[in-house]
Amino acid sequence: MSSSSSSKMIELRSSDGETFHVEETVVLQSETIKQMIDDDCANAAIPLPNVTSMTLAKVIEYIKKHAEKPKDDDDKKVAEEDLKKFDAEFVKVDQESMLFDLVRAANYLNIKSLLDLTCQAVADSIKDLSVEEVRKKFNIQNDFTPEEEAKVRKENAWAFD
Amino acid sequence: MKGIRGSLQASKVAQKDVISTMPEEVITNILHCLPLQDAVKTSILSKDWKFKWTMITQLVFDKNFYDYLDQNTDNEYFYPKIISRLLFLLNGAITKFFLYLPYCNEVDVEDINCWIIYLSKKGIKEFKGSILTPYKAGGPFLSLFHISSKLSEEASKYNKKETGGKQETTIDVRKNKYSEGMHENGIQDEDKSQEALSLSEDEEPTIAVKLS
Repeated sequence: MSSSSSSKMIELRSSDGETFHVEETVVLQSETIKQMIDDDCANAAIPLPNVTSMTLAKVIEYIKKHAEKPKDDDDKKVAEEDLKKFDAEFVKVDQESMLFDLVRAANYLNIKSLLDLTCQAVADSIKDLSVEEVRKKFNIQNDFTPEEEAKVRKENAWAFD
Repeated sequence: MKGIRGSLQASKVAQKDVISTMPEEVITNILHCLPLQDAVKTSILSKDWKFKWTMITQLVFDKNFYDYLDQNTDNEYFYPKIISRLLFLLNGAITKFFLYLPYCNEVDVEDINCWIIYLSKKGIKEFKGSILTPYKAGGPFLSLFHISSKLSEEASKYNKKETGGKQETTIDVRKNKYSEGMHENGIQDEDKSQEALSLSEDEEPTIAVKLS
């Protein structure tokens, strides 16, 4: 909204070959892409071999929303509330794998606020689970022998009920 | 769909799971979002996970943590012991430290001083505390006033060494009613300690040191 007419467009290409056009001012939230632009490597489409089109579309939805600038102070408060709601909805994804794809993409693209948001969502999803439930959820193979596991438990006995 | 695929993989060879293959710094980031006890619990997920939690750089001993311990052990002696132990177990820098300390007879002022000195050598950038244990003589609060300025010197030295640039140090020690009461009377009376405890409910830090 701020400078849409004059802003330069940047082209991003996902791992499955789809291209996305995003305003430069929006895409600068990604430190990785910012670096590429600073290094003058963004004249052609920027390939993002680690990010699928589905994930990239979500990431762009996020950075577009976060690039909106409030007009005045009154608007600022409303915008902050609105952004909080948006963030809360944003991490409610149907597929757990999508959340992990977003974590990976945020890390690769180096978008700190998105990384924090998605990591918090992962943490929230396991916070109240038992160790066994966490293993099951993430398909983690327990390769401890019962004796080894008991030993590790003992080292920090206070953390286990 | 995903679930079926997941269980098929699990029944075949031990396939790498979605979370363990995440970059180390991402896992650390997720662990920072968990309460400390849950982060430590990840040590028994698998051999791969045994030491992942020791990479965390933030230690938050907040009221929730204290209450968690309180539920699981009736001996308050464990609290300072566990803090000391965790400090030593962490692998790298410790940049953020939060200490909630309610009324608790077993905490020795020297323990707190040692933690702060240790932290100052581990690259501490943000120290916050809600320290409400009343002591009659030279309570931890007073020594923390003293130590915190020492800490800032130490830590800014550390920062300078590391970045070579010029560093700004800000110290913000908020006095609460409790500390003022200490100054005036030297002793803590019933009313004052209740004020101090009510402050702790908001978790408003009584001391905050930020080094940038």
